[in-house]
Amino acid sequence: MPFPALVAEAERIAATVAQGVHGRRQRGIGETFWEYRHHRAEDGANAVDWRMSARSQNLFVRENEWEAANTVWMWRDGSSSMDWSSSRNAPTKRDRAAICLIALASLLTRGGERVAVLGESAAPRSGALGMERVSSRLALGAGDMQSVESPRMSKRGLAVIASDFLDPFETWRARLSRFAALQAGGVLLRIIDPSEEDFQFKGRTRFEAPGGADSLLFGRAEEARTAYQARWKRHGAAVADLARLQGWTLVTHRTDRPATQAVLALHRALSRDV
Amino acid sequence: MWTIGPIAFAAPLVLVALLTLPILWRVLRATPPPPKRAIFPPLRLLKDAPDDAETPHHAPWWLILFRLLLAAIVIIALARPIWQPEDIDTAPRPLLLVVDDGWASTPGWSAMKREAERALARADAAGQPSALVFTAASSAGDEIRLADSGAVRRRLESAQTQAWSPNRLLAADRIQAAADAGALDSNLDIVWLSDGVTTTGAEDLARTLSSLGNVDAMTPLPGRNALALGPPAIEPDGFAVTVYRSEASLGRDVSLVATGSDGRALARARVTLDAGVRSARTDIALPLDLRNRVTNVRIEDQSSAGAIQLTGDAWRRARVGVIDAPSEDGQPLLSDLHYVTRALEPFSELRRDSLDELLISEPSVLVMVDAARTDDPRITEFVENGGLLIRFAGPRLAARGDDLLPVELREGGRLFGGAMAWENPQRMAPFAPDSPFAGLTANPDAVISRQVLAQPGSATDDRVWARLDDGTPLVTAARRGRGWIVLYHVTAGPEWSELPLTGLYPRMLRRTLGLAGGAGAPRAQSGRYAIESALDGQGRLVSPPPSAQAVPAEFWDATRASPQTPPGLYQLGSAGAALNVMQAGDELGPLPDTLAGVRFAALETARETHLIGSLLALALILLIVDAVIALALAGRIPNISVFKGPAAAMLALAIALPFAPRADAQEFRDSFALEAALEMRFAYVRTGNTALDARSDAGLRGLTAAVSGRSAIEPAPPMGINIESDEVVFFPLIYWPITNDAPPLSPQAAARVSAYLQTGGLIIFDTQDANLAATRAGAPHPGLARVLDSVDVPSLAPVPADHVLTRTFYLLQDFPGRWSGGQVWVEADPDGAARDGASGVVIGSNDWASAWAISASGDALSSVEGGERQREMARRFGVNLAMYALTGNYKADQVHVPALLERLGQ
Repeated sequence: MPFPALVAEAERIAATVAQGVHGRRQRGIGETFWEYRHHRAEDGANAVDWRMSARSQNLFVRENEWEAANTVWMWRDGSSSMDWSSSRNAPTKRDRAAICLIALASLLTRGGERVAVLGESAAPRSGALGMERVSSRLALGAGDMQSVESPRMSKRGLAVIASDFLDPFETWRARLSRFAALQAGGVLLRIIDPSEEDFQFKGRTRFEAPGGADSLLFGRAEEARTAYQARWKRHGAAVADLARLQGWTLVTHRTDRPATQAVLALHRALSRDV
Repeated sequence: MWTIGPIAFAAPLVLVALLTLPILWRVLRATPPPPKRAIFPPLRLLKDAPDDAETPHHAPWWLILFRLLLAAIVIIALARPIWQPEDIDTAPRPLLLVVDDGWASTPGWSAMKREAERALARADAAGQPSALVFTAASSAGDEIRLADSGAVRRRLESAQTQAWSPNRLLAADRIQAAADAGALDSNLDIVWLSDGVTTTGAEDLARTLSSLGNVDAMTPLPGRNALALGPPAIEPDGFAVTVYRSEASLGRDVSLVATGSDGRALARARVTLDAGVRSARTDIALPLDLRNRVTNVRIEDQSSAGAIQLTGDAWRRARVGVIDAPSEDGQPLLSDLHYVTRALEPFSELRRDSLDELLISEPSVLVMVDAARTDDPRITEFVENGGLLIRFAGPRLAARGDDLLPVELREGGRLFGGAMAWENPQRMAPFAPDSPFAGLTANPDAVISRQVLAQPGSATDDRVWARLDDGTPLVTAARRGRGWIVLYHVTAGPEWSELPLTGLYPRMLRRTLGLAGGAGAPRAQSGRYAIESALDGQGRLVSPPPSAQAVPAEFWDATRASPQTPPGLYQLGSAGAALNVMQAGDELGPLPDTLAGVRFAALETARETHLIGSLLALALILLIVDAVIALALAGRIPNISVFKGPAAAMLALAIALPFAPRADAQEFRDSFALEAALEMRFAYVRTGNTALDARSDAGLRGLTAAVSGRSAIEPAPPMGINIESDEVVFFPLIYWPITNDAPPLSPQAAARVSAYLQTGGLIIFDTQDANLAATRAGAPHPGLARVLDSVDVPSLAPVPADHVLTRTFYLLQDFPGRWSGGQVWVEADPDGAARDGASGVVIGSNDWASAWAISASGDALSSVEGGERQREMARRFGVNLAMYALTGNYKADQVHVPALLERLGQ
């Protein structure tokens, strides 16, 4: 999918999700007015909002809504297995991951958060410029595994890792162990192509790995189905374990479902952490 | 050559290859189709999954059979099978093709060409040269010599039939000359493709050919040989033609058509040629003026030069010359010339001029009234040469007779009914059945008061065409030379009789003119006829061939169709003439099948057919099918998924639909009628606008609910009708929303609607635009105008305050719908109609349907301008309408009940 189409789709999704998301609804550090409350002894004199207090007998303190900016680091897997889709009508896993992440970045940017792409952005940015850089890197960037194995991000940041997590459990655990050291919170976005889960193949079939490196010939593919699905389920459980070990949230998304669901789930998961 | 039954194989050894089929079977079995390819990222998870991947895999048995069949077809095709092989006889010899390309070959020309093609193919196969002779070619035809078949084939392909008969004598001479000159071998294979019609030189040709080698003559199949049309003969009521044919073993129906110059068919006739009959004659009845327009007569479905007869000038409208004379009393409307001119004009090319001028224009008829009487010897010459002279009597002729008369006249004439006369004026006697006027009715109003009298001896019966009651001749005629002289014994004007004032006069003159066509214009005796357009072999008029030459007039009658004088239209000065293939006295005879040294066979009999081409084509198709199957088995047919599910169902439906039996339209109509008629229900007219139709439906459901709840009327749910196709007569009330772009009604629909209104239906037209009506500023609603344009709607008037509509159920003053205040119109004076004073239409713009409309749960659907009260009033109006539709003027009558009762009580 070309980059502008990707961004447009992501913006559409972001706009859809944004309608369902509201502010923090709690007071904190920010610039937007939240409420006036009575002055308490521990507040000190410089906290008094004199303009308001002059209208009545009581002293008032002005409080703003909590709007602390946080930094979210994103990464979209660029391996060859991601650049594939089972049918002409469905997007590739890589495009879908990029759409979800760009939409999420857009939502976060609107909320004043800063967003960066792991391994490709030098510094997190906010605002339209930051949004544009993040979009292009998510859509077109290489998505090296290197960036995940040695993440260069600030401590206690938030990370969103989008991948199909097809590599073995141990490999991924090793990769994500560095995040634990950074005390990073985060979300795993697992992208699944429908044919990977359903396995509708029949008859004599030669299965090939996306790079063409490896292949397997099956005389009757339907006979392998039960075994494969059991393995797939085990693999899914392993990915869930991976997230749990990190203390992160796992969002699973099939490319034949609307991206909106994934973006909403991602946004909720992040809102909890922020 | 190896033969099994009707099939022979030219290369039978190839069939040995069929023995390899079992080996092929083993090979095909051992090679399974290639596997489907699928890219699959989670390949790791698939590793070591249970599978029988490495067990040997067979191709499906049906695929093996299919491929074996394919191989067998190819092998059999390569063995060159021949269906119904011909016996190839002796040693091959050079081929001489003799082709009759006269007009009679046209019907079978393509078969003859095919046969020639076959003969050439045989010569080709034997590697022999060939030569081609066309028998209808002119003497300057191509040189005859043996050449390779390519050149012969090219000549054959471009050859067309000629418009004349073959000249076999000439052809025999040419062939003999060529043989003498050594251009032909002495031992030839000769194929004579004949048209089956005999000509004078047929025997000479057969003799010449048989001296050169074996002669195979091909004649057309019975029923395929040529038909010819003889020259039409003029009859009193039209003309007669004869159809000829050369071969008579089968009965045959022939239809003839006479065509005018504009290409219109003027008359048709059918002729049946019974088996064993070689010619049949038929009469074609055609009035004179139509007959004169005929330019040719053709045999339909037979396009050859012999099947058409051009009429040329012979049948043109007679050229009539009226000899001018000075008007005696200066009253042109009473002059003889005026009457005769007006009577003849409609049927002829009439010219009124001095005799000198007239004779230059070569008329076929001269009209001489008494005032123009002349003894000019040129008139005698004109008549002797075949002209028609029509004379009228008068005072001059009564005083003195002359030479140009059919009968001798008594001097003085005869006067009836005068002051000094004994006799009363006479009337005409009925025409004798053998008179040219037979069939005309003598007009009793035609009173003859004066006439010239014939000498009793000279007026023989055959000369008298019409008589008076007392038997004295009124019209006499006689031949003079090749022409006719016709004398009317009265004046051409009303002076002597009232005959010129009756309609009989032009009819009699018209019959007289018929003689002119038969006699023909005087033929020129000098000069040369030059061809204008010639017939080709197919009987089409085309530009003449270069071989055509002009024909001296004196030889015209003896001229026959030939390369030098092709049939067609010729012109000499202003006179035209047609030269036809068939002339009077011609017949068609069959080519005698006893010609010495000639073997006869019919064209188009069963022939050997080489099967290799069709078999290889079949194998190619099967190969393509095999490729598709192989691709499908390998999973490489792209987008195969679109053929699944609904798409597949639609595809199957699209294929099956044309074959599926048509849903019975009658049944559908019946079910509609039953549904509409078995229960009383209201109807609305569907406009095609979905939102509007839904609103109408909801509106009528609301009205139905209101009526059921409030009155004794309990209608069934309303129906939508298509005004263009559905019958409307079942519904007491039809609600018809009219949009601005409503289309006009078709005539059938308009007739149905008019009939509906006349039989007591009620249609509520609602333009639904009361809020917009002001913007039209008095202009009619365009959609309503279109719809009502074709419907028979009486004059309309605004609803009067005391109209029955105001009190059929509720007492109402106005008729609001969604809007209020819009004017409502009804028929201005319905009393005259058969509906007992009930208006058939109610026209308004208040959008009543919206006000009535309820949802399925019974809630009102649209807001109404005046709130709930107005909605209630709208419903009341609806109930009134329903009552009005069902009871008509009942309430109007009821008004009088108290008065009636009071009167009864007295």
